[in-house]
Amino acid sequence: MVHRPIHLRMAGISKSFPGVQALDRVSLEVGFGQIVALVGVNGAGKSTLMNILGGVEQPDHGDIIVEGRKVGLHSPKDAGKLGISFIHQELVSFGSQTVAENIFMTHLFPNRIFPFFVSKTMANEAAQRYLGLLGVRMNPRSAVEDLSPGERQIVEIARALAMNAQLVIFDEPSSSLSIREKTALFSVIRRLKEEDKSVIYITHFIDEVLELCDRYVVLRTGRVHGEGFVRDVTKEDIIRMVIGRDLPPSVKAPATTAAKTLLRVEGLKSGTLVKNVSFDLNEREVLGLWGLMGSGRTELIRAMLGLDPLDGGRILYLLRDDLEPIAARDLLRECGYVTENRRADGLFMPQPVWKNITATSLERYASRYLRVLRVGRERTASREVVKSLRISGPGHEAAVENLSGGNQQKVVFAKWLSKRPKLLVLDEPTRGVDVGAKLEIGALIRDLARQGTATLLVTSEVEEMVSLSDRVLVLRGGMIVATLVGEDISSATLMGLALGSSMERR
Amino acid sequence: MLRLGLRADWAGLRDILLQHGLYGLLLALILVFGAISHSFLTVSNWTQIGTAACFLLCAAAGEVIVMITGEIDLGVGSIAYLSASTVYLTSAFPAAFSVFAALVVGLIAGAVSGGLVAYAKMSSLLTTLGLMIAYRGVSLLVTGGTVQAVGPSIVRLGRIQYVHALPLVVLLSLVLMCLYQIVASSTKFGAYCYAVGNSESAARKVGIGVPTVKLIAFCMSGAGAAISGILSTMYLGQVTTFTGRGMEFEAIAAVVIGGTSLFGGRGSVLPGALAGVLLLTVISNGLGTRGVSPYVYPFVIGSVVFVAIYLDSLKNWRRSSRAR
Repeated sequence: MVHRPIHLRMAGISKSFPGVQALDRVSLEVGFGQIVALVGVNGAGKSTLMNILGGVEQPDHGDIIVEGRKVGLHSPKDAGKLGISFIHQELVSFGSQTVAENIFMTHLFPNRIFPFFVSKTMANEAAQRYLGLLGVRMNPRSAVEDLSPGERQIVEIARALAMNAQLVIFDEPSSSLSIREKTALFSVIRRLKEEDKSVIYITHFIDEVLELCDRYVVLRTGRVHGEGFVRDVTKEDIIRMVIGRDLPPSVKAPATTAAKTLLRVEGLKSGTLVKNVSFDLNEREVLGLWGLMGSGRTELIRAMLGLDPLDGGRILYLLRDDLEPIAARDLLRECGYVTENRRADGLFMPQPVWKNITATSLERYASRYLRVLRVGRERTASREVVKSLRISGPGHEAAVENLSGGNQQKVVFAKWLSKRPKLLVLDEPTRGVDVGAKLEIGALIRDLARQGTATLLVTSEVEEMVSLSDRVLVLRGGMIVATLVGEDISSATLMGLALGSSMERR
Repeated sequence: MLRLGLRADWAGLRDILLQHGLYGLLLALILVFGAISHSFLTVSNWTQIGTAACFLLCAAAGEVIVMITGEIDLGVGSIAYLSASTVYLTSAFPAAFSVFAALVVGLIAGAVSGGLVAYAKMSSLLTTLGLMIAYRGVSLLVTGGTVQAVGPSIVRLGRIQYVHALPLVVLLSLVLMCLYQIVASSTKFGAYCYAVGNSESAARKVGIGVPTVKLIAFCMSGAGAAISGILSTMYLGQVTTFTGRGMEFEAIAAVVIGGTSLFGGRGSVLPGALAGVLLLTVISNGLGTRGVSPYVYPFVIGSVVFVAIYLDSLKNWRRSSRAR
């Protein structure tokens, strides 16, 4: 075999910020045509390491060696020249412009005759070439805003290729994608590998590491806590390296038969994605709604809570001692609703933690006559919640935007829990949250169920669905196609049922 | 399935109405005014509409470029006044020199707004609001706040009419519009403008020099406004305190009616801004030929602007809800 230098070697990288050793002698190797997973909880040092590779930060010590040559990365431009390209979590796309314009934004082709003008035909043809290289069919003339998030990401990858990227770094690329889009993304990443490009794949999802990557590097508190070939390890091994301790045993409450029905949905219809859905939800129960994106699970919740118009059916809710019909809007007022996007509609980002926590229950802190808020009580109450949910970070006076993703999500929970709802609706409650926080949130959900809360859970992570739900309704095409209880809830059954007939089409 | 198809058709129709409703409305208005007024669909009336619109056309063309980048320029009316005042100050010189000097003044004024917005990171709304007042103040100082006649060589240009119907001033404004549209749709700079308006942070990440793009956009707006001022001196032969007054709001209204988004990233000079300006001009002209009280115009135009801005928000809302 011909000896070829390794594509990228970061050796003994250290970096400290005032008061923190962000990276401590971290080494990382990426071979040509290799997909390397970079795994770790938030704050483990992944971003710092990648910022150094991207030329955004300078390391205190350590060398970066690209194709056998030691290089200095002093700006993002330097990184770009070496063929290092980033696909960020937040998409870098231009909505009103075409796919081709998005791909070639900074080096649009000049017109042959009038070099001052740009040639759209040439851009379109070249775009088609790059998309073909990725094995994707897409019209280069369509506006990017009409594409799905997954397709936009592929446009970004095509841009990276067009800029002659040799090493593509993906920063949690799958967190906003549906299962179908994720599959498409993975096949594109495998295409990159076939083209002899190297990939660093940053993720929280251990499943993705196992499915996609060749090697893994686990970072914890700024140090490498394990690396090697993915084929040599199990999921549990990696999780142990990431969180530094064993997984707690699954804590599922025994099915209680005495529980009362809290919510009954009958023949709910809304739009094209919810067709005639009926189910009961009991107290002390975690009811999972499982299905692919587009199966109607989010739409069902939105219709149920009056956020989308109802076209039929009715909702009954346990008021006093009987199930009584309730308007969807009123149900929204009764429940706690963790939305799938905490940034947009879950939190008041620039406000301090305590104001976020008490926001749903201000009634309780208002004085009797003048309705003035008693801030001291708010602070005391929220301080207790912060302690009991173990929300760590810069403290409860800090703005929520300064907390890590996992802690932000805990604040979202705290906010709804301070309302003491009997019904919790959770839409992707652990999206973009690191493994440690994910486990804590899972435990919290089970804990609440034990105390009597009825929970409606939507998640795209099959493991989470299996470990948390007492009962699972499988949705496909806006209808319930199966109900699973107890032992029947397994990842294999869930995946099979969700994909259903759409399996063949793949 | 059938029902679904019908739904899709409805959505399609709604999209078409949102995108192209303006042109339908413009056509309908022209037909209605043509039907109820004999003088409306005559060549001389359209020459009149053209001359009434040409000043606004120039200012609107530049405004489109600025608004595509996601900023706003309230200075165009005052810059037009400033350039007209420059023409008056240089009336002793040949017409070409006056035009050149006025253009340079417009470019500098635009560069000041653009520089403050792009490099000092000031809000364009407040910056250009302040400059609007300041530029007007300077113009009032140099003209003494009264009506001032400009040189005869300039006025002679304003009399030129091709085939007894197309005045030079109108032709120039149309040429300017074509030029600005080509810049927007077929140059790198144009693509950068849309990119900056779509997402400034994304534009920065792919390596577009965002401040430079904004600076040039404001310079183009300044130049457009200056040409508007020059044309007004050609046509009227004088500078008055009414030159360019309130034109910034008319320009923004016309541009938004023409489909340019207040949120940046989309819009066109041709056909968008042209149609917007024509709509406003046709309404006042049509009402005028019917002898409707001029006091009614602001109300009618205000309503049209309101509807246009509502539609812009609606489009924007639909886009963001689709992205969800």
